[in-house]
Amino acid sequence: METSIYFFILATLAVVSGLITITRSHPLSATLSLVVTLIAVAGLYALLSADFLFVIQILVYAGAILALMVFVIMLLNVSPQEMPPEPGIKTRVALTLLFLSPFFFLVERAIMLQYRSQSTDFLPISTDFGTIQAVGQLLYRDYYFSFEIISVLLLVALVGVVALAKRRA
Amino acid sequence: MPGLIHYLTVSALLFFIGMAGFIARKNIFIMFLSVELMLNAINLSFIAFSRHLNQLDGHIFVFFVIAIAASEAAISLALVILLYKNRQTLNVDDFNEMKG
Amino acid sequence: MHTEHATTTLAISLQSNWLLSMVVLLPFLGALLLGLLTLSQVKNEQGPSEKLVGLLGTAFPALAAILALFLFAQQLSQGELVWHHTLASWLETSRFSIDFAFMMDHLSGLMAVMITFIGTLIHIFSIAYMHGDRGFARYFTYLNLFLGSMLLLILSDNLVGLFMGWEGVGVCSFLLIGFWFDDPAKAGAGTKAFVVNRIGDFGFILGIIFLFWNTQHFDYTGIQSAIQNLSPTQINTIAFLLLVGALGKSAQIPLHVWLPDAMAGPTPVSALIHAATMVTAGVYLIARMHFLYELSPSVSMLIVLIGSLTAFVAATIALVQTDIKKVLAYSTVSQLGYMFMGVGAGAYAAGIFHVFTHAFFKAALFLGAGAVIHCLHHEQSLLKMGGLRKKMPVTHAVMLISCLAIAGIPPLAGFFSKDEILLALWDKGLFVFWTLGLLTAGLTAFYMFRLYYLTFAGDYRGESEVSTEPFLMKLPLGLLAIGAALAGLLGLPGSYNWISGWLAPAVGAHHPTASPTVMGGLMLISVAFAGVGIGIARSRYKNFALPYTAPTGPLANMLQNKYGFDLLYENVIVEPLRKLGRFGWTIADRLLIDGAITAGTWVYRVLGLSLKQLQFGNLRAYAHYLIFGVFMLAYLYFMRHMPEVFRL
Repeated sequence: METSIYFFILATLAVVSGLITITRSHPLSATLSLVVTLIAVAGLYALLSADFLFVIQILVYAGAILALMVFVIMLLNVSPQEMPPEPGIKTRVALTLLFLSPFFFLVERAIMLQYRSQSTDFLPISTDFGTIQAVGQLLYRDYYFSFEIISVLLLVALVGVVALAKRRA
Repeated sequence: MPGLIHYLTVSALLFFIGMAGFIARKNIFIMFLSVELMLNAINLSFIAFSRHLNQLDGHIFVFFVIAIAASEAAISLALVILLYKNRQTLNVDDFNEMKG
Repeated sequence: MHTEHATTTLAISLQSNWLLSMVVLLPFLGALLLGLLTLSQVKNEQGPSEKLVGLLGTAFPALAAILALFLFAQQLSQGELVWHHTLASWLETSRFSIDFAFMMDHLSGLMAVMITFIGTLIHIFSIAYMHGDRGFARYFTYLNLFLGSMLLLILSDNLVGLFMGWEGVGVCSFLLIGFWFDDPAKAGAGTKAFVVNRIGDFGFILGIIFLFWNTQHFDYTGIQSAIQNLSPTQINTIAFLLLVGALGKSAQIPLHVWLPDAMAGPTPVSALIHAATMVTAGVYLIARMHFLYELSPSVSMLIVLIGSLTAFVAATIALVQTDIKKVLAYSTVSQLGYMFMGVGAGAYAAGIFHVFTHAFFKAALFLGAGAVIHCLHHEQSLLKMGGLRKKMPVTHAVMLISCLAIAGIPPLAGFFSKDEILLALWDKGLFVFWTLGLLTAGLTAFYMFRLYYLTFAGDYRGESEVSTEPFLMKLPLGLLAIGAALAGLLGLPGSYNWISGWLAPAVGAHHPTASPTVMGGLMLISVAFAGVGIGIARSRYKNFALPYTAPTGPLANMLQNKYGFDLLYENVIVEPLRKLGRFGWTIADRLLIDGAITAGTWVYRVLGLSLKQLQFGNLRAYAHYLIFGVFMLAYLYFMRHMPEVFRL
């Protein structure tokens, strides 16, 4: 029962702040509301016993990536007049959502048809599911090659950013 | 008690919100945030399936997606800064030189 | 005690069989090294140092020769030894596998020793002959590459490897004939050799495919065991197709036209490739596939027919040639005809024996001619020579020995091997061909001594000064002359025939049934023919003096025109092909194909113009496209796999 309440609160929070994200005219407030969504999603991870990713989501996603975003927005310091003119943001977003909704209902119906029996709670699992130790062992035992490749990707991104930043604008 | 379909529904909702933001907005920052929203929606479904199948591999995928999102954020924000310095605008409709 | 010895033998053969692969690889390695050296110095006007190139270029063949000799010596001491080595596997499929595998039995061992030995001598000769040439390093690269390909051809244990070597020597032959490619005539001669060989190789590769199709084997042992189950038609077809390849490579009628033109290359190349080794590959192929030809008497008869015709026709053409190398070229074609007669008559050992002796005396003749040409500053016309006996004593002695050897004067090499072949023909009751062979022997003696007297006897008729031959030329000449004099002793007639017994495990035994009296009689006849030929040549050319009047009359004209083969091919094949090519170019290519493509480009241009309107540079529009695409994909997926989604 408690889980249901938590789920409901977190899901509502995520969806509502997601809607807020795409309807703000100033990117800063949009970013801050996205942080709320990310934290709510992190909470959903925790409900799904993904301890490790819960921590990563808050530290890396909400903490680092969006902090970088906020930092950039503040660095550029764009005044509201310089923002792209988008009259009637809320109406446009609402219309777009309406336009996309048939597709959403199609997907929703597919989910229902496919996993109708899974409407109740998940099966019980071992206590170390999703812990840092379990994920770490899997990562370094079965996925070590992909892990190394990802580190190269991050290095490339780092070099790329430095190269872009040093270029004369 | 919430089951797989509930998590998938939330995931689908978030994905649609991201999609709508991406095609409806002109502000390059908001479009970027919409992409992040879609990535998170997919992550959520990964984790829900992982829990459903009792397999940890989904977590690994999410881990990689987060790593890629981080590099993507770094690169795209650097590009946005350069674009803004050159063009003094955040409107994607103004970046339309690349045409056939 | 005996078993112990056998075990040691096995151990030795297991330990050193990798040397067999080295025999093949060493010349390739040399070619690679020299090629890189050539390329690194390509901007340098002088090219790489001649000393270095000469040393490297000779060292690799010499090493290969030493290794081949070592392996051969092991075979000599242990009669049944056959070397095998698999270097690497090449193609692996579920139906067959092809390896880079080498096999050295008594046949290929003899050939390998002969090729590496003569090859090394010719490399040494070339150092002196090519001195100062702009392409010195390039020349040695090709020569090494040739030697490697030739050894691959000889030593491979399957037909695919043999074919690779076969093509390799073909390419090297092309490169070396057209070595001085800035002369269009010489480059054209190279192309001619290549194209004519293509015709033969076409038949050859068809033969290999057909053979594999019917036997599922590429290696000789597998083919030999599987071939017994084939029908006579299949065997005849395969034998004929392989023969076509052999005809091309060994310059037999009707594919002989390239070899005389191949004399455009440097003379040592003519000696190595177009006399001693490559052109005998056809004979080797037939001897190697002897089990096939033994089952196909009709194709064997065809071989005898072609061989004897070639021998006779080429010998008659050689009578009227005035270019020293052309005489030798036609003589080579004629001698190759002899070899074909031998293998066609089932005397495979005799054919290979003639390959062996011919390699020595013909290499000596060509190198001697090379020395003469070198000392006369690239003068090749017999009419401008004469009186060189005093000026070039070493070359004179070598040439005299070799001429006597090829003419068939005992106890020199050519006598025994030629006699073996004639004996085999007589034995089989092929008296017509025996007569042709005998006539050819007489003609050979005549034109060889015509060459000899025109070159060495009388007074010098040329203008340019005669220089002396350097030591690096004398050394190989001397060694080859020894070979030309003594190689025949390996195959004394009758029961002393060592080489026939040696080759018996590889190509089968052949015992002449003629009585010693008949054999002796036949020998006397052939020596008499040779003697008559020499006598006529002596009386006509000993004191030859200018002016030379070319013989006239219909017969002489026909010989001058080389029986019209070139003219025939020009009119029947080349010209129609040229016309067809012109037709194809103007009508089929420019009008139809180019027209269709031009029309096609207009279609795409219009399509592109209309489609590019979609690419108007707006990122958000592209996002809409993307989402539309996702919609479509999802719709298709649901339609196919979950149609109930659409049911309300």
